[in-house]
Amino acid sequence: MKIRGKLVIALALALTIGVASVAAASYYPANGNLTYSGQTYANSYFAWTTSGGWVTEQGGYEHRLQLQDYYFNSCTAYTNLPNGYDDCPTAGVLDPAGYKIYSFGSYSLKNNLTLNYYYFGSWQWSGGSGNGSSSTMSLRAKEVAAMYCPFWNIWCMGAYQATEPPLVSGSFFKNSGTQGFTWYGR
Amino acid sequence: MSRRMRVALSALVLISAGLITLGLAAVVTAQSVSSRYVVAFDSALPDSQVVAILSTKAVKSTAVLTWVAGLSGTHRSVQPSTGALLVEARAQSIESFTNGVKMNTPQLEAWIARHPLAEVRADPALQTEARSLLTVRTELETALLAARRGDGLVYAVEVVPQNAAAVDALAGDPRVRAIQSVTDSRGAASLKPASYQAGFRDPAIEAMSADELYARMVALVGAK
Repeated sequence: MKIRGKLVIALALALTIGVASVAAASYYPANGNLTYSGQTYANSYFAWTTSGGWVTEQGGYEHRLQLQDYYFNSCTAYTNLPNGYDDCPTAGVLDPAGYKIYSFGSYSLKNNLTLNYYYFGSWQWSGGSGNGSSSTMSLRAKEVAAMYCPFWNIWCMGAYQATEPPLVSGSFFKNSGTQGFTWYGR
Repeated sequence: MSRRMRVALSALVLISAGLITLGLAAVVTAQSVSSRYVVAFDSALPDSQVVAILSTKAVKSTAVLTWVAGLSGTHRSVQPSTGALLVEARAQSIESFTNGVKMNTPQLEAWIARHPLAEVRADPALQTEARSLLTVRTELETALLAARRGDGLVYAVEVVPQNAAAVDALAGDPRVRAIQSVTDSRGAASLKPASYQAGFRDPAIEAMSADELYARMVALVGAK
């Protein structure tokens, strides 16, 4: 009886740990940071500690930085994600009124992901509002896949799920030195 | 006309105007997207070659798609010519890579402060983290060198053709690998060359032991 009791407890523990692991597995990076230079540049390092919860076969990923539309004009983005893409070209075209979303991502990440590997992406801007101004900021993670047309083109990508609340949110302040935002254990 | 009727009429006019405005906005947005094409080459070409291909066609270049040292990028701007767009894209890329290298050092510094060497020796996951942070630096340094040297960065250009003949002219140019309308339901999987899809890895960094990784990070932080 005692042995059976211990077995039940062990099984329950194993199940709990297993469920907790599955629940923690995600399509978005558990750890990361966003650093804004205080001028016209920002970058983000981000890593997955587990992978799961993807709802599409393609398993694309998008890192979406939303700023107020007056803050910057032209944008140059880079990422080292496998199957990487950047959709600075779509910023301001189909975005919510008053905002521009500057994104980079991967057409297919689910099956190409290296756990605990810090991926990188950056935004270089020009133009926009004058010195000393500020903008609200939010950074969201989205699972994406070709939705509007069938191939790997930034205009085809649509979102299937997104992090809410955002990975980080706050404000960018121009000419106020480097500003950092981090998230751990999401 | 009674006051109630006038109010109802005014409301109707306002609602109609709002609906028309929304409809026009939708048409304009749809048009601005549907009239775009992406022109892709076999690989990233020198800027002069990209200009030579596009300057003889009736197109307006609106964005460039770039790849260098495992970094996929884009640059979008309103410029009077393809040449001006390319000049700006290269300048912005150089500034971006320069900022990236500069801001990689504080990343390494913060990471070292959180993880002592003994912890890194014992944890393969931390070794993966260290490799990735050092790899980003190598990518950015390599990309910066290539961009400054004038190496080809642009493998595709987003354009708005001025007429149908311009699309035919691009499709018939042997230097153009593919041209794709963003609303075309046919087409290939991706316009990016296949060799550009894989993630970047530096064999030297991949081969480093925990101690070597740590020493490299400490050296870079100390050299700032």
